[in-house]
Amino acid sequence: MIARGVVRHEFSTQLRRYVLVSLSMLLGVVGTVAIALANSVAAEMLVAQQEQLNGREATFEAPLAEYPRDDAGASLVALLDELDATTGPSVAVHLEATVPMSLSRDPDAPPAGGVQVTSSWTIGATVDEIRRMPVIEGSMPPASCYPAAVALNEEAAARLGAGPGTLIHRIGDNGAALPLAVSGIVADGNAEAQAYGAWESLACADEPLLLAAQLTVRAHADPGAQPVLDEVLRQAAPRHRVAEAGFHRLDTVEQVREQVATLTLLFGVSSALLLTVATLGIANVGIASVAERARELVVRRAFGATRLDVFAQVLTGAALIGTVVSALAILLAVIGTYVLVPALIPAASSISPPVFPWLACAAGVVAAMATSLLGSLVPAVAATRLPIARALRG
Amino acid sequence: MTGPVLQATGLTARVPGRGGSPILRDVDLSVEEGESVAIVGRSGSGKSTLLTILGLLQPPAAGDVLIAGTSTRRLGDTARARKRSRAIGFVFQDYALIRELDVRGNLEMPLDYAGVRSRRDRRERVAAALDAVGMGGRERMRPGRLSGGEQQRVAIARALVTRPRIVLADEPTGALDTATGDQVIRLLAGVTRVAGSCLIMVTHDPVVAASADRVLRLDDGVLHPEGTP
Repeated sequence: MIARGVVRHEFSTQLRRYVLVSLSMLLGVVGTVAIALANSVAAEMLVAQQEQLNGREATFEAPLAEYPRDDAGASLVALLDELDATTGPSVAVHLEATVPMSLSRDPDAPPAGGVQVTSSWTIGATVDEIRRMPVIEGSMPPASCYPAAVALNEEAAARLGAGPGTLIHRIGDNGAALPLAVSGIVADGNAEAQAYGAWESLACADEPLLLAAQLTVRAHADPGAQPVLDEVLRQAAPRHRVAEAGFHRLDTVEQVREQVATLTLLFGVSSALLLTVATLGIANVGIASVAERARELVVRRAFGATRLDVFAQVLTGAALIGTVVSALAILLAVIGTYVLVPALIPAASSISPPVFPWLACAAGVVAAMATSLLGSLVPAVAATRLPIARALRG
Repeated sequence: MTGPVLQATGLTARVPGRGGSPILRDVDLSVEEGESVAIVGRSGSGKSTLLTILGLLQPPAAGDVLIAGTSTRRLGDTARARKRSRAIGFVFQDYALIRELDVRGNLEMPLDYAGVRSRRDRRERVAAALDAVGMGGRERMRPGRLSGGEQQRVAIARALVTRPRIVLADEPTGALDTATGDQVIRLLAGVTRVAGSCLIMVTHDPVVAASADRVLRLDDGVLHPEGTP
């Protein structure tokens, strides 16, 4: 076993060199962890953008054919009930009526004088269960009748100069004004003006308008429940006037994940290159160090150090450095994950803060140890082969 | 104590490589406890080779080195290192102090390999060795802050700190001026005698050699007493 004093001496004599090696290794390992974190954030940004615009991963939609006025309400409720009953709680389903509207704060505005928005009225699962849609101000609209409540996206809110609590009006073609209370502002990722409300609210106020709208059924399942959902939707389609096109996948998360996989591969290759450079750097410093320390090492051998002592002396230093660098890398990863990256994500963003990159950290620790040991192996072996008989002469 | 502390019998060494010419030819040597021996000779006569073999730094091509009557011929590399750590101290011409360590660190280094773990024991041994060479109280100084003579004193203390039976010195005054060299050589001979160790030194300086109890000359790999043809 290597003597404690030898390790202490090793560090006191080689401090500058170990600092250099540590920096080289830290660069490699922190680079690996940072790359993993950046990859995770980049992937999350791309996925978040897609889920905000189109729907969460595994979201399906189908347009509904026009319903006869007399049984429309009952048919739609039956469709929702059937989907709810057959898909269970792991699937969020809603019906959406999409209606273009002219909105204005002035109830006496002429029909074409308002802000043109696309309004979506849903029943069943809420919009934010289907899409990532963070509320920036206020709240999602309740299913209230008088007045009906809506949430505006940022563009609509800006153009109307409205915020939570503002009363606005839908100006009908005949100039009639329908009061709408703004409950909040949402970030939907859409550049066009949009309004969101509960189906029940519009049903109270103007059911014919609702049923004349484009109707769409949308369902989101956990990715694991996707096969069940596919089957349920396929069977329900013919009974509920689902348009011939049938259900189609709305979200593009899978495609994004494929792109991210390529990105991950590139990041992985970059990490491997970084670590290789770090290993070569450590080996280089180590070999130079052994050449520089040859006299000291043979003097130690003369005074009784065995080959194993010298080998262990060089490797123990490397192992300790690996441990210290691993701890530093984990600390930096914690700071990055819980402090730095969240601070860079805007509050109203749909991007979730990254989860702690345990896998990258574990890989980083293994890489730090492997890098330090591999990088020190050649110098350690070289140190044991120094010609001890030359100890007598400098 | 009965018998010599160090005995060499029939030592032969050759220049490395197949059919290398001989450096040492059938060298016999016997050194008693407390005795000092100087080995003189021309450059390239094999003095340093003889010292490395006596110090178990390299095995001879033939012959044996006995330490306190125990043969070392069959010892492996590790066993030879263990033997060196406990039985042999070295003094080098260039002092060979580790410049990044202070005086205490330099003296503790051989204690690490000799298995002296007790902190108190280590402190006492370091203090005693430094006192013996007149360097007491200088434990925290770095070698670079010491003069050549002081560094060689520290090197002598380092050679003695493990209380070895044998001290081997290669040109111990080679890097010192005459006056300092005289002081150092008297010190070296004195402290090894007091410690009960035997001293074998290689030198080309007749004054240094004259301070030893016995002077041997190495000519063409053959060792014989000084003054004999």
